[in-house]
Amino acid sequence: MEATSVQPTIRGIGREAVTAVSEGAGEPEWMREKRLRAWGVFEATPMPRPTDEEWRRTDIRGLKLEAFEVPAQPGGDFHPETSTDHRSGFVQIVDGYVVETELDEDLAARGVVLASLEDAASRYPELVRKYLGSVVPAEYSKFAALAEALGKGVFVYVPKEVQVEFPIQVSSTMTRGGIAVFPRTLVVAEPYSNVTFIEQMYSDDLDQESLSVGVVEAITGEGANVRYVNIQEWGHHVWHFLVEKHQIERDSQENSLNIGLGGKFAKSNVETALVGQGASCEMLGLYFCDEEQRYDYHTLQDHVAPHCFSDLLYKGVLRDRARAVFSGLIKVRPGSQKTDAYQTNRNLLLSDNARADSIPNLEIEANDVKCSHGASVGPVDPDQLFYLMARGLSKQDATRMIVDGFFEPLTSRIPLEGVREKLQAAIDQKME
Amino acid sequence: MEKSLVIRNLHVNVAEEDKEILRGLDLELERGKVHAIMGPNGSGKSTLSYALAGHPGYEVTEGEVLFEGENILELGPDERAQRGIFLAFQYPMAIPGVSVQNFLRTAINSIRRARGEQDIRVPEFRRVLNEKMDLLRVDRGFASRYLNEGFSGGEKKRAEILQLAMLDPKLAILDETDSGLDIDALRVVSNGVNALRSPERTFLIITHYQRILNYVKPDYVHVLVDGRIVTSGGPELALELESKGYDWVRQEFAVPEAV
Ligand SMILES: Nc1ncnc2c1ncn2[C@@H]1O[C@H](COP(=O)(O)OP(=O)(O)OP(=O)(O)O)[C@@H](O)[C@H]1O
Ligand SMILES: [Mg+2]
Repeated sequence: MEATSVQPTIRGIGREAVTAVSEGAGEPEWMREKRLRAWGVFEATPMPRPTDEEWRRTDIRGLKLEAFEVPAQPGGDFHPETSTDHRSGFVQIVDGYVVETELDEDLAARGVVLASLEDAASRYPELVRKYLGSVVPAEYSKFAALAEALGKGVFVYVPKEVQVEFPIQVSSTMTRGGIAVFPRTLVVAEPYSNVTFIEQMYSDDLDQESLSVGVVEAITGEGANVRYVNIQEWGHHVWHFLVEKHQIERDSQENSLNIGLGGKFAKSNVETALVGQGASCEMLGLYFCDEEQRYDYHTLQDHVAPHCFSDLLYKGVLRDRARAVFSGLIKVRPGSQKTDAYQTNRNLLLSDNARADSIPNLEIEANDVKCSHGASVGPVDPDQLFYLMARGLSKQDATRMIVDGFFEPLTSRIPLEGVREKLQAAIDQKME
Repeated sequence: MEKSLVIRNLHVNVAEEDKEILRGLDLELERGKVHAIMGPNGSGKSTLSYALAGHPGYEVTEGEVLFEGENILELGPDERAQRGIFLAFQYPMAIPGVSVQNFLRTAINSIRRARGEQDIRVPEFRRVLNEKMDLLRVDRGFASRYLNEGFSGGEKKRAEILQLAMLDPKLAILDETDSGLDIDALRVVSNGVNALRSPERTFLIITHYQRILNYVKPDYVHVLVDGRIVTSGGPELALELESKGYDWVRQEFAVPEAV
């Protein structure tokens, strides 16, 4: 071993980076083992090919993993997330490194944990060992394996019956092009607790391509209530991969909202597994793609237990030459009687060259269930446009109003006003 | 006599079907007066109103339309609205997710900006909106509902007149605003229209029935059959039409068959 050099060495994605990340964070041995095992899975798993069913409509042959650098330290020059909203906790992540963590003292005293995953692995090994990778194992996909091998991120733990009054917000940014980050989030809400969690990824548009490969695991315990919001506003230079999976237990309630605005490319697998009876979830999605953006959503409502309810609504607007694929599956496992499951995907096309494909699927292995799905892809209704223009709105303002109205059922459910306003501003900018 | 609107030899096709609906229509509207247009189903009344408002699906192939002396046929629907033309739709569109008040404020400001005026201040907007809602006996909660979404037929028509009241146009075209209204609603809407009459504002009321004209007294009545105005007169013409029917008009005024 060489002496530590002052200048951090430039590292690509590889086994060496895995050990370096683990050492740099001072993690316990078991955590490093876990990473190395995941690296093995990553290496053993082939890159997705256009012939794989899930990747038939989305081509990632342009992605060159070896081109990215795994940053050895965070960049100093970043726009911090500023907010006047009431928050119970806040984490700032820069180039994959947690640089700031703050949590309401009262909540900390009551056992709530908000920490970087690396710290948590040392301080709460029994919790992290139990839950990390329990919802999304490395075997889930090549990208999940990569995120497990190199991931850094946030651990949130809410003990039994604790109510977290205001949202906890995590803001993650990138300061330069050419790098790869692996955001990893683990949320554990013990029985009868309550928490709202907002995760945001943002950056400027940079010249050089970057990569973000993330995994979110959220466990909602019996009778607990979790609200999770993920907002992706990377610059147009980022390849974004996310596996977001929620596991919800008996009589719990979970609401997720996944917002996609940024990136060059985004592939999101968003899943909820309803594993305890009486569990109920709402899965919302909003995306607005412009220029050459490519989005691909894969959703799963996995009904493992009886008497559960799931309702999914994803709405997208596309302009310029953007393209989106939505493929949603409702899966009702044997024995999951009295399942109520709904799935809707709607797409509004603002230009002739934009394109959206919507592929709903049902896989039902129980006989006493209520399921339905609906999908639509179409341009702005010319009669609506005329109606608004006949009141004096320009075509652009009328279109903007129709788009705002289209998204309203989703934007109105963002739990922080400041975040809602920024999102509205981002949508307005896309309408320019 | 000051003209608000002059239509000469107007020919209009439904763009999609290339079918001529208005076939040389002439009409002059006097400023500050109430003009009524009556005519059988399919005669082209809504087509006329859409053509005046600038609907892209209705193509003007011949003729001219002067509004306050300006040829408006080259203007987009937004520019016509900004100049003061308002159409109360026979079938208003629902705009999901957009509240009545948000929509109204945006519309008012669009018109103001086009005229180089300042945006309306929020307190003033609220005050005027409440005033107009009271005039039309509309519940205050109405303002935060989504525009026309889930509105009953009567609510949609009231919402159209509320928009008319808020946007303060020079020419208001009402396309069958009376249809689908019960007696009480008709009275409220008619009172609203009467309250909005002024020497600066011209009304063109399209209707099938004498009913609304009992409340909103027209100065002139025009009869539209097969894409043309075939006769015009005073309020008594509406009564005559109601008793004798359109066959009488066809015979009396020798309306040529459509080709
Ligand atoms: N968008 C359209 N596409 C096809 N045909 C149309 C369209 N709009 C109008 N027409 C036709 O033009 C003719 C006139 O229609 P219009 O709606 O103007 O009649 P109207 O006088 O308003 O009738 P009503 O009293 O029933 O409202 C009808 O034959 C109608 O079918
Ligand atoms: Mg009509």
